[in-house]
Amino acid sequence: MKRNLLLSFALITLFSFSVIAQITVSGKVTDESGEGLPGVNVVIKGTTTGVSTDLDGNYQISVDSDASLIFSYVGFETQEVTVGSRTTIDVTMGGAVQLEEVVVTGQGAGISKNRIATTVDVVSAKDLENKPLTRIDQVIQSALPSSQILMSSGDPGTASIVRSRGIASAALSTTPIIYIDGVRVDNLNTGTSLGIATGGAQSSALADIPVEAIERIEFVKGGAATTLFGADAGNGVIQIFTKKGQAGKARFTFETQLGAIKGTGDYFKYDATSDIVFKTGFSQTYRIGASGGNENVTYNFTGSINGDNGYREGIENQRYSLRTTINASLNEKLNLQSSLGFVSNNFTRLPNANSSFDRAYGIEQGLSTGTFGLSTNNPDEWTPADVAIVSQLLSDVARTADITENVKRFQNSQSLTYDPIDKVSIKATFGVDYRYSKQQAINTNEYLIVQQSEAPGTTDQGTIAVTERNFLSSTGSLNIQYEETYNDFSFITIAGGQFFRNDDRQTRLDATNVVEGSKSVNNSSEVIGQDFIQTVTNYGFFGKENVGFKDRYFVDFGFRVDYNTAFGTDVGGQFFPSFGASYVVSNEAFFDGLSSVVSFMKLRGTYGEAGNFPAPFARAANLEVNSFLGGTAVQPFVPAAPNLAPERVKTTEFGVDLRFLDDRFSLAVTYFDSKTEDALFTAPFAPSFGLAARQRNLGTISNKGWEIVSTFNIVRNADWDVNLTASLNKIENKVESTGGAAEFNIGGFTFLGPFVTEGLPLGYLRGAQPTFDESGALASVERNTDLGKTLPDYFGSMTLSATFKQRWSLFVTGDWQTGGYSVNTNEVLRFFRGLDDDRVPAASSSVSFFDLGGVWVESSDYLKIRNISLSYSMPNEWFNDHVKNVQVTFTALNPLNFFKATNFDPETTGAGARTQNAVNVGGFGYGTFSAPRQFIGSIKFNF
Amino acid sequence: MKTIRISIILFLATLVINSCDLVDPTEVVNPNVTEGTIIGTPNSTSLWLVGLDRQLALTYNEILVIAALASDNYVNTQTFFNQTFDILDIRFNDADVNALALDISDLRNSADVGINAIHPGDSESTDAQLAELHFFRGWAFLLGGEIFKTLPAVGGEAALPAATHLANAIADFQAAEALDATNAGYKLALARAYYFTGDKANAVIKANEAIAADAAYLRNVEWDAVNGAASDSDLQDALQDRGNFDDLQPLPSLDFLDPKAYAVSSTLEAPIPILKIEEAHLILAEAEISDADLPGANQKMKDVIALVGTRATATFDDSVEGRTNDATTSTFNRPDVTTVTVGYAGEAQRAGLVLNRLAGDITIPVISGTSLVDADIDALVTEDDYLEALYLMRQEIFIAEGRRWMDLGIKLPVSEVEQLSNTNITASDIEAAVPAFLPTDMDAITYDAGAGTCVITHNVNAILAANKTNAAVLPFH
Repeated sequence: MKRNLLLSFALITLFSFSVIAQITVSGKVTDESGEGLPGVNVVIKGTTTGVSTDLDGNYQISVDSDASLIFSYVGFETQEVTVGSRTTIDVTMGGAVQLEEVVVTGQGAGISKNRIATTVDVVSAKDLENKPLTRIDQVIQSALPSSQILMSSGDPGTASIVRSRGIASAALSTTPIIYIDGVRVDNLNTGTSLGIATGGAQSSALADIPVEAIERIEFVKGGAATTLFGADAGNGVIQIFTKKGQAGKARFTFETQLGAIKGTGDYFKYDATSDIVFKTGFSQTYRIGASGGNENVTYNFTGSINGDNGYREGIENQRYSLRTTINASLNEKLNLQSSLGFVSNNFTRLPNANSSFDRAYGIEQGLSTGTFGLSTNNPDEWTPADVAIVSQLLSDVARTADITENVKRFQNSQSLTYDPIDKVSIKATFGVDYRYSKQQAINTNEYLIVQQSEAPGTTDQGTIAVTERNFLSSTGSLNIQYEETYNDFSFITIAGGQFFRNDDRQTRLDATNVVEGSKSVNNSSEVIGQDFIQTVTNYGFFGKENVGFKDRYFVDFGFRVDYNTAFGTDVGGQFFPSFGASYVVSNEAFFDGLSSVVSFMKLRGTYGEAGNFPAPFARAANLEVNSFLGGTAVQPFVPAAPNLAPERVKTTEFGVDLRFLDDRFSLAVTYFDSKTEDALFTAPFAPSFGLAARQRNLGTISNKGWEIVSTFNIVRNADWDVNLTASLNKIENKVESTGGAAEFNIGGFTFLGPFVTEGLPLGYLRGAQPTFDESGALASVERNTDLGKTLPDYFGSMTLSATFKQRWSLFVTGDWQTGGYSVNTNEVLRFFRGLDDDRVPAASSSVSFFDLGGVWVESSDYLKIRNISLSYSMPNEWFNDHVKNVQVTFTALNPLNFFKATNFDPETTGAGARTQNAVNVGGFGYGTFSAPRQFIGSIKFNF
Repeated sequence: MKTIRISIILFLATLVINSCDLVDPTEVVNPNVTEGTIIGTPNSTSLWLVGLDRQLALTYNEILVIAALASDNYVNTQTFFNQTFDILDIRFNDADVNALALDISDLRNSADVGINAIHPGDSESTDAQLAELHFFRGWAFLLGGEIFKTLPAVGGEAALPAATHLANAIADFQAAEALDATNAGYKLALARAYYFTGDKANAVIKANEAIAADAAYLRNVEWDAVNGAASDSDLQDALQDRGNFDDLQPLPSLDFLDPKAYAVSSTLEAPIPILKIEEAHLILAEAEISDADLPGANQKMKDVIALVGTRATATFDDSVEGRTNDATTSTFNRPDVTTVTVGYAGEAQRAGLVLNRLAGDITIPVISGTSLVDADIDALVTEDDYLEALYLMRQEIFIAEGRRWMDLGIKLPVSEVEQLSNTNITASDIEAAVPAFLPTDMDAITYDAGAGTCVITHNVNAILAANKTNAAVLPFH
């Protein structure tokens, strides 16, 4: 039997060889205009064997003569060609040349952008290429046309302000919620509840959202576009889609980036500060990637190691990241996608901003001569001996400080798509995000003595603080999409349900009188422990109907009903509706005559609601319990709030999308009017009640404005392709009502801080406005008055991209704002120390700074060029067959800053962001180093 | 076959429903303690009293720093603590006015809940505990009456005058005394409340009873330097710690008493007296001066000096506090060596009032201290001499205890937040009361480091004596 089998096998093999010949096929793949298409996948059907076309569209592959080749390329219809006896196969890719962009976020399922009435901002993989960035907020900075991303500090891994359409909530951070492959992830962009304060720079969970394998980012703004996210999306939603790989032979990439980091002295008053504080740091990044697959299974893997030793002594970070995504067709109807990522971050920090232990920025604020033995506190007048003292001090502080943060983060997503019949698609997604972070600050006696905080010889003041945060977010969703057409009508019906659960657990240990040299809280005289537990589950169901008529009239209706464990006990399901209509005018017959000038025109209008749920457990009659002198101190409760409901962002928007001259110029204009009702205000009760403030549905906040985005194709010819995208956004923000509550503070200082009050923008700067008479003496003071708003009137971004002969590409991004104000807190400190400029007349130099607030409020206008990169793709003929492509890129990050403020960076903020998930309006230029300049060279090999 | 299929479906459905128990994502547990978990439980009153001790610390944390500033005792040289209080510019929209009103109301409300809900529901509660609850509520009323011109006594209601708060305080202290008749503190608290109402007869009776009950009576507010910043001593930061912005500097004539708020160890900060028997003697002395019994007052003041002599002192390294922080500006240039003499403008310079904090350990009184000796008392002649000396004693003995502004007749207004959220507040309620005779630069000095002399511009105690009939000050006159 065995012998017969072998014989049969041999015969079959022989027969096969005699009929099927192995031949080499080559050819060129072009688009319909005849231009060669680089990077087209050419795969032998039923195998993982394949190649990609080169820069000119040429390919060569060995195949069996009975095989079929599959040609695929994003934006074109996939083609299948049987080889037969041909050795040259040229293919023209066509079909869906004008691929309609499909968006997912806020829609329940994929839907053509043309059919929807809301705006979705998209960042594509191409936009992300060659950017040596490691955190999501930096990645989208300047890339999202109608959003602002302000880096509150230049120290790695610290919190930022991400906002669009003003400030919709006084209760929580403006950071949108973030989904990765359909799974909600930690978006905490503030300090943690039990976090260790190092001054102003707070660590952010945005710093470790993986960015290596991003294929696409979608951003939808709160209100109308986020209705399907219900009570969780008043601030908008960012969704990240990871790369799934493309069918074909395995492709490998290796990339290395080496660079120099140099702190920016643009904002310093004294030259000495840069000279003493900054050193040139060295950064290095290594990335590897592999992707490929066949028509049934594709995969993408990326891994990276990144680190730098900082722009000043004592600031360092290392980062490790891995991500794999696999996409598999299990059968004709079932598709599985699974992605798994891991990120580890380590940061070394120093005290900064609102910490009197920040000696580095202290130079700018006037170091104490008596304390440090300086001849003067004016760095411009320092002798070499003074410089030596301060340099030694900084070096000693960096050497003895021991403030670290470690983050470990796992994130995964599983989704199963089932297409039981044509037109129906069912998708189930489940995933988790687990983030562990640990902060540790060891203040040794030596450190405190170096800081001149304790007398030399002190041995009993050493402390250790350790906090750990474990955050687990789980998300599950199930939705069904049904597409139908009937005569001129087309219908897309989406229904589904979704839940997420966030579990935030923190612990903190504070040890006192720690034995010198100990890294453990055990070696101390006393250890105090605290914990923090916050759990919330949000669950609901949604539906959406999108109806199209004659491919030009579209209406959609949507809703979500949400339940949330943070709602008051008397608050049931919350209904969030949306309605929209759009009209693609350019698809009308009467438009044909205009189409040579106006190639596309769409009018759209929409109304929708989304919400923000209250703080978990704020609804309960909680008692305040503290440890006090060894006893348990129980203090009164706030009354229960059974009616505590989500705040509701109701948005109406209208817009027009236009493209001209064969799409060479596009313009999108949107007007929005957004109102947050039942806004959650942590406004004080009348003090006579003796109760702590608690979230209440008190306020009404309005945000109105315009969003204008345009793209110009400046040059397009055989050699050049130059595009410029620019945006202009106008914002009007006002607190329409505080619901009868007194105004309240949301950060800053007692004498000058951002407040919430009726009739003024949220977070307006409240303080004293002095006037001086001719002699410079104080003439009058208006206390607690409006000194300016932190939110700008206008902001925008711009991107210039240019390619030459498809080998050279130049990429420049920047953003700007105008009309806002910020406090020059550094100058306040200089005023204390006699180093102030002349804004306070000499005759008023003894006036209390409490009465001078207004003199330190300055314009926060700026224009910053964030990124200039130039890259070159080397010709293939320079390399052997194994190397497909080599790309060399030079990048300058944060090269240019233009600003009005005197000696402070209006983007950084040394106050706020400290309370967990609290709103941060910025507005305090205070002892915070700005994002450093980086000059990075990178080389990327594709194998 | 159909039956089997239905059975399988039902079986699977049951499994799915059961599995929900394992994955119910809506189950959340509030980790906090709520109202229902404490009322009606045994020993809840003792937990509540610890809460009141903590609230007292929080309240004094707010009082002590701003009271030091709104007086001639301390000057604010570079801090983010309140600065306008230093120049007696006290407005209703000042954040400290609101914070203090909230803390006092919190103390009152907490004691109120203790009396009405916690104590009755606690099977293990005692009369002594109820007496303490009344003491705390009385203390909240006392502080309200001593510090504020008017203040609501019930949440959201009209602001009542200081006299009503003092009357409420007296009622609560009497209730406490009725429950615990031997407690000298309740008697002394009554004496103080009567003193501020001007009820000399009752103040004298209770002062004598207090001395008889405990001739060394002392009650402190204590700090928890370990459990977070809220309950540690802000005054210690302000007076002693350096290397930050918290820099309050004493009037040079009071240098020898500073810092009463100091770090005893890394985990202990010095408690601050809120009620001590010295006050009974000072009330008796003032009563006798007002009765024109100067010889009697002479003896009572010597009694105070003798008592102060029995009080504890502390010796420690205070080199970090320093005195001359920065010679570059006059604000920071303060007397810092023992050879410096200090005197009021136009008066004799006195030696021995300034310590050198860099020449080894210093010794300071931790409960009470005074620069006056018996001979100084014997040298007094007129009623005003006596009053000036008595108020100097009060200034020295009560330094850093939040008392000086009360003696100066300074009263805070109702806060802006109260006014904005309580329609019963009137325009008059939001006006502070600061006696017109007080100079706004009370803590001004001229220091000549070369000559070793320091001149204090104003003798505020002499000003008080000269204005003794003003209703805002010297209650017995």
